[in-house]
Amino acid sequence: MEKLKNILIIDDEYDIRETLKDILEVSGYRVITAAHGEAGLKALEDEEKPGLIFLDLMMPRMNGFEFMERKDATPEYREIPVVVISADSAAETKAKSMNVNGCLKKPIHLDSLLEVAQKYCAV
Amino acid sequence: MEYSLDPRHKIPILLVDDKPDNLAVLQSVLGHPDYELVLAESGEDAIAHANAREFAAILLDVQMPRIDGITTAKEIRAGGHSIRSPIIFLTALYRDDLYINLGYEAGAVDCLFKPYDPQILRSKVRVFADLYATSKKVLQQSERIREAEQNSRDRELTEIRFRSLQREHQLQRKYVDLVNSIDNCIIWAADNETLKFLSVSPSSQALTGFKANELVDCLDYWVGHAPPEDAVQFLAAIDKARSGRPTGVDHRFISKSGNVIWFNTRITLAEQDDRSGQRELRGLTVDVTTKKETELQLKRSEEAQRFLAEAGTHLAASLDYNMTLAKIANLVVPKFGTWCAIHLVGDDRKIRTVAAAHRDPEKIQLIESLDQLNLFSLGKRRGIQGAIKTGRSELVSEVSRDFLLATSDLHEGPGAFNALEEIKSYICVPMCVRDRVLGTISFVSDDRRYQQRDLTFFEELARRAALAIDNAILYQRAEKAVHTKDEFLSIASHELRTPLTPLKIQIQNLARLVRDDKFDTITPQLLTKVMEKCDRQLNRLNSLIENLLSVSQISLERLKLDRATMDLGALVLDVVDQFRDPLVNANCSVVLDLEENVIGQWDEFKLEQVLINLLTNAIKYGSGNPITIQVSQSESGARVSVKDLGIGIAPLDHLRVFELFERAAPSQNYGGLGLGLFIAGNVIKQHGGWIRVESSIGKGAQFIFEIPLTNTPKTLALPVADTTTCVVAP
Repeated sequence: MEKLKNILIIDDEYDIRETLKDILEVSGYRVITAAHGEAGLKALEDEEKPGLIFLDLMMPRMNGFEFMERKDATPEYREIPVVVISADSAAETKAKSMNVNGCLKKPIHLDSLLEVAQKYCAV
Repeated sequence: MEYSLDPRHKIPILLVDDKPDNLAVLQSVLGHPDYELVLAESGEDAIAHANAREFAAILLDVQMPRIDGITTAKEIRAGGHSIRSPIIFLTALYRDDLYINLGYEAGAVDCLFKPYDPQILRSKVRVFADLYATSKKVLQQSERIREAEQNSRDRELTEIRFRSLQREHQLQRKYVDLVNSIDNCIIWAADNETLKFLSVSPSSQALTGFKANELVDCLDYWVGHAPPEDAVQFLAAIDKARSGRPTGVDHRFISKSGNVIWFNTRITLAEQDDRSGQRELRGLTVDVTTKKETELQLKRSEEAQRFLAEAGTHLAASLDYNMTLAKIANLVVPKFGTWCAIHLVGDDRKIRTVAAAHRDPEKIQLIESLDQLNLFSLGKRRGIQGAIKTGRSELVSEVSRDFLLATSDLHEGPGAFNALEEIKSYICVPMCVRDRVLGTISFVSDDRRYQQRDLTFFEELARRAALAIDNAILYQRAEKAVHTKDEFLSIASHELRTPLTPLKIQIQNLARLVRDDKFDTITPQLLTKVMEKCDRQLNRLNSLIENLLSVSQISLERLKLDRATMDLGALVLDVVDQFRDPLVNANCSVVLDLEENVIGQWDEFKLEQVLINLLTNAIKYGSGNPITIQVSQSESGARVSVKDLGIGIAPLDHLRVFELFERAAPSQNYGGLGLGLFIAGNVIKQHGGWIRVESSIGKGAQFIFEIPLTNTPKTLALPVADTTTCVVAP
């Protein structure tokens, strides 16, 4: 399967979104950001299909869990890999209960972030 | 004659001769007023006289035709009254010894020969006459003595009989006095066959209300006034007594005035009466009410102890006190009442029925529907509301129809009132613990009259129930506190990690560039951007730490103000400036409406914290929408308003959002420690002001606070406002 270049970051924290975006773009990925689940779904509709989604859990309007339900309900999005990024103490446990590919607990280590991006996306 | 016993009784002398001349001679010789001379002209004649009566002497002619004197004498001696009378033979012819001997053999005492000397004859007859008179006199005297003796004996006997009668009478009077004077028992006698009363002691009136004279001939006095089960026992005792075995029985009696008396009756079958031949039943009926009540009380107290122990087990078994109270209500009924209802005061001060039990499970709904009638409440001064207000119990031993009408929201009418017919007695006890009334337990009975001792028992039950409820509430609170603490720690770590993420990545990125020798990429522009970002995260971390410190100060009541003259409008501008980037990032515009020179003596650092918290909330919940901040002079000082157009807060949560760790927004969507408004409320309060929120769901929220310009001892009063949109600060 050919790796895609796009990465979608869904997080309500502006500084986190922008920081991750900067780093990943410098590394050669194309990055789209969304401030909550709803905006994330809209980005899936409007933008080029991403090879990976970084998903925060606690967000206004539509949280990470609700986003996953909606994403999995749409067949064409179901296959897109998702990695949870969360500051929740129980982030890993919560991620395991969801249909996601991994979890990066905040504060995120830069190398882990790049490793995950490299695993699912092509530069 | 020397004596005459009775002039009427002359001395009888029998003269016997076959020759009338001879008899005439004898008559003339012996004629004397003392003598009664009886003449006989033959032996047969003489024998007839002699047999018929006793003679003092018999003068008998020997020679007579047919029966001679000898034969006649023998006959006289053979029997009759004159068997021992002296016989003197008179003879002329047979003056020989043979005849004389024959005469003496035939019983003669003397013999005179014709012709006889009249003087001698008179003397001899006189001797016998005197002897007769003397013997008669002796006999008469002894007769008199005997008579006298008899008389004296009779008199003594009569006297003895009289005394014994007197004693008997005295005894009887004593017995009657005794029977009349007793007051704690009834002595009675009844016909063995018919059971009709024959006698009843007057004490019956004092003890039972029925007069003794009303009861004579009464048939079923004991049985007719006893509860059925006691009547059966009483009749069994009667049967046993009739068979000759004395029997005792305890039985109740409903007195004329309707009171229940406990009696002990001992019944015996009396000996057969000599005169009437009847056998009566005798009874001694003793009033043992006090003893029975003591026994009953003891039994009740044991029962109560057992019940309290059982209730205690239930109360200790579970921390779900609603369930426990339902169990208690079901334990009480039907043993101690017809109904039991348990009410608790909620956090909203409303009184709710939490448990109810009725002897007839189908009527359980009735209890709740009757609650609405405010039974016994007398305008909330008595009944359940009264007990909750005063913490005092209420006992109404006898609930009358009038009492119910007077104390409840009840109107005379067939429907509702019939249901109340069963309320005969009523107790309401509060459940108190640590000077707080948690609720009440109400007991209603349709058959027993509650007494002081019941009240004491129910109060003890309520005390134990209150303790159990209090323990459960404390446990629930402790559990909630532990849960809140855990949740807080989890949220706090989330809040602290969030700003650490960009901080860490920025620094790691710089480190990576250095490590990879890509110094050329580290431009001043990049560095500025990195440092700005890092500074923002540090500000956030600092603000979090400040909030945590403030909470700690507030909990320890160490929140101190460092007042200095400051300009409130300038502080608002400064805070908005600090939030320039976050505002832009959240796509929020800020509308400022700041009156100039709103200057006062305030703690600048703490007011800055309040404004930061309010603005952070406005950005968090109202992102994408404009935020309006107003500062103005008000009548009482300075007024600040921060208004967003975000998700809003439901009126129900207006009070809660100012409490520690409380948040109205769902934690699945929004972070935050739940400290910001708690701190804001306390800081404003410390400044002597108030803070409130006007909001509803989806309509944004406006937080308004007012503070006096200077340090005044008086706290500003919160203006009265619509409670659905505005709520008081802590």
